Amino acid sequence: MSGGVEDRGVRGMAGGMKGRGARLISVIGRDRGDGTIELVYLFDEGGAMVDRRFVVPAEQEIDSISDIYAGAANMERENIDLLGMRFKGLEPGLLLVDKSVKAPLRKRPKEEE
Amino acid sequence: MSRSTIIPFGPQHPAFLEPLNVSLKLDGETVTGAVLNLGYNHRGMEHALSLDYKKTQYLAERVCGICSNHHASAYCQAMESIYGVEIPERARLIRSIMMECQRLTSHLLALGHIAEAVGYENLFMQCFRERELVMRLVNEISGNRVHYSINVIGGVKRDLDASMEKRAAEAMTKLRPKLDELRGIFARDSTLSKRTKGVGKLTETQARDWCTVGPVARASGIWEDVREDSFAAYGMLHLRPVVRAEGDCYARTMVRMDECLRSVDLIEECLSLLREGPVAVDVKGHPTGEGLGRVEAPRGELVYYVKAVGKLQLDRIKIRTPAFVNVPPVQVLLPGCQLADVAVITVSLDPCICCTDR
Repeated sequence: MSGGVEDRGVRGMAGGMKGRGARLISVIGRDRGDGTIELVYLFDEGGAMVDRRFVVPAEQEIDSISDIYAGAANMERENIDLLGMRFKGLEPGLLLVDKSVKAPLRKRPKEEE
Repeated sequence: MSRSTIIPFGPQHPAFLEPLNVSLKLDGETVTGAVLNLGYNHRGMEHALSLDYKKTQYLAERVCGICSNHHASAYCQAMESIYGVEIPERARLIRSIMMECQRLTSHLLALGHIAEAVGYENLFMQCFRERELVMRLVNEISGNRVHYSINVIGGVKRDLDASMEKRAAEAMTKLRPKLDELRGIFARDSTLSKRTKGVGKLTETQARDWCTVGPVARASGIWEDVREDSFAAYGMLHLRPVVRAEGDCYARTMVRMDECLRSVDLIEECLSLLREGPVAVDVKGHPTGEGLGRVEAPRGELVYYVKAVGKLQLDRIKIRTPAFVNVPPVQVLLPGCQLADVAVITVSLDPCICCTDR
């Protein structure tokens, strides 16, 4: 399911999963190294792990699903802190403070020797 | 006219074992609002863990000192799924034995902690006295009390000889009546009941909405235990998850207490199933692919996501710890309660900040 799905799909997907009784396990962000982030929404549905994937530009603001799953807020805020992502209505500062390294899990081009 | 006061509860507080802060809004002695602040123990573990997959098992075990073995097991499970290897039956059983031993030490710590939070110092000491029996057992088996270092990708690196199996069985026989006695106290003591029954009630809907796991979810009526999904040797065992409906501090305490007794059953069952055989398989080459490891840690489901790209360095490793989803509901549990109950309610969630902040 990965590959540039518009962010409106995130909320529709989350609402659909909640309607099916799925539990949100995690929102995993991974820098693909090409200016995009892969977001893996991992669910438990009847004991089985189900993932829903979205690839989004790193700078794009993503819809939050924290009003659908209250537990998603911290999962999304963690991606704000560690990957420099933006989620609508959510602030950084869950794990890092202002003086911390910015987006430590974002890949950076190797410095020329 | 009432006046609101905002006070910080933590990060350094006698009731907390680790640094977390809850900003409380009070109207007299009644809590009217609570905001949880995390990050005091953030160590950048996910970055550090991704630097060299051969050293990750060692470091994963050090994410948390209470469920260390579960971290190592979940990481190894994720890597084994990438390598496509099945670990031997004997290794699966030994992993389950060690995981249940760690559930005992973790739950007895949590039970002692709740006893201390309600001011029952003697009970706190009794919990830790019984816990010591298990600590000595794991020390005999693994050579370590906290970081067992018994897992490797492909199995385990220490076997149990016949005399060790016998000593483990004897330890369980000795522990069971002590746990029965503890259960009687937790179930019937009037002071504990007054401080925990009907206090900090998390409804099933709230527990689902906040994505809670483990004893916190099971104490709110949610039938959910990752051990039913058959990792390690659990598919061979007779697992009976402990589920209660009340959702209050008492239910969370009793779920942990009853799970201690179930852990003794499971360890005895594992010991009876041990047969001669190898305890590890070899894995070769740098791994490539995605893997998920999922275990039922003492606080609930622990998930490791690993993306490997054929190099020493992993592309991404992500840990979703149970405390990360179990602690935030404190913000809906505290409003409406009395200030004196804040410590009991927070401690009843068994907060682990090493796991939460990583």
